[in-house]
Amino acid sequence: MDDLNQQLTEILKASVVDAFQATIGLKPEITEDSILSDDACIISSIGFTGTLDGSCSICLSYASAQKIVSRMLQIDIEDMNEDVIDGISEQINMIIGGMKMKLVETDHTFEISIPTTIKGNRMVILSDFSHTTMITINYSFDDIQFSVSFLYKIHKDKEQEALEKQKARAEAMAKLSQLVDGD
Amino acid sequence: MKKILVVDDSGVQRKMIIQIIKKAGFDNEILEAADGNQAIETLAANFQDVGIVLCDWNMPNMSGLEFIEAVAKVPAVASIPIVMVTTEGTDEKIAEAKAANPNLAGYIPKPFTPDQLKETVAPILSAAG
Repeated sequence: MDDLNQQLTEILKASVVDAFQATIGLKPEITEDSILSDDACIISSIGFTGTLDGSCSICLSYASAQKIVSRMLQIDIEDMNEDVIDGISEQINMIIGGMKMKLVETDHTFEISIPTTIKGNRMVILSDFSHTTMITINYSFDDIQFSVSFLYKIHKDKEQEALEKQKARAEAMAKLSQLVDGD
Repeated sequence: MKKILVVDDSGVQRKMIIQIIKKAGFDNEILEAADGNQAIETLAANFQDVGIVLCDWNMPNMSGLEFIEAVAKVPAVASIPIVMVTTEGTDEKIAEAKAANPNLAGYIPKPFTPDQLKETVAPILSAAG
């Protein structure tokens, strides 16, 4: 799991760089600082399923979103309009699309869904589900701040899950039998 | 001068592609469609004038794959060069697209740089006139 987590982290970083360099000509810079703010923000998220299940999301303030899409379209954007929502949705689409292509370096593959974008205040992406792992990377550069999160779990089909449960039960019963025999 | 048809459900993506084409020096009239259905209607109305179609894959109503498959079956439009511009960039997806339309003129995975788009589109547009 640690090796996979590391691989996915590197793939996510590379995909973020590719997406931003292609669309706004800037290389995003990672920051260890928190980028939470009280400003209004948006989260754009895309789900995926395959050998990995989960979602990939970008979270950023209205101001950062407007700056990014302004650079994409090379126009001034002063409001949180449809172009900004569309542009950020496309950005997360390209990030997860890039990850999907780079996943050939691993044994994993997935199909991606469509973006969902939510607006609100002081939002964060949380992960408190069992058997899931979340990779979050914060970026801060050129007066733009955002975080990208990749939440995943390894897909298990029902047959595989049933076999694993059966094996775990058999091992537990074997240990119990040893205890009984030891008496 | 032939027209260019840009098919993508994202308005921002269509604008970006159009910007790149214009900055590359192409003054061709640009037609837009937001899904495969609209693309079919636009192509039917302009088939003699369209010199290239730039088409996304994942779109509502009719996907890019369905669109290129439909076009391949109609002799009047089958020879119009189509270039897919999409996040579906794996070898498997490229093979699927080529199977749907063996005449596919190009495939540009997103994200793409302006140069990548220009390098694919320029020779096709120059040949189309």
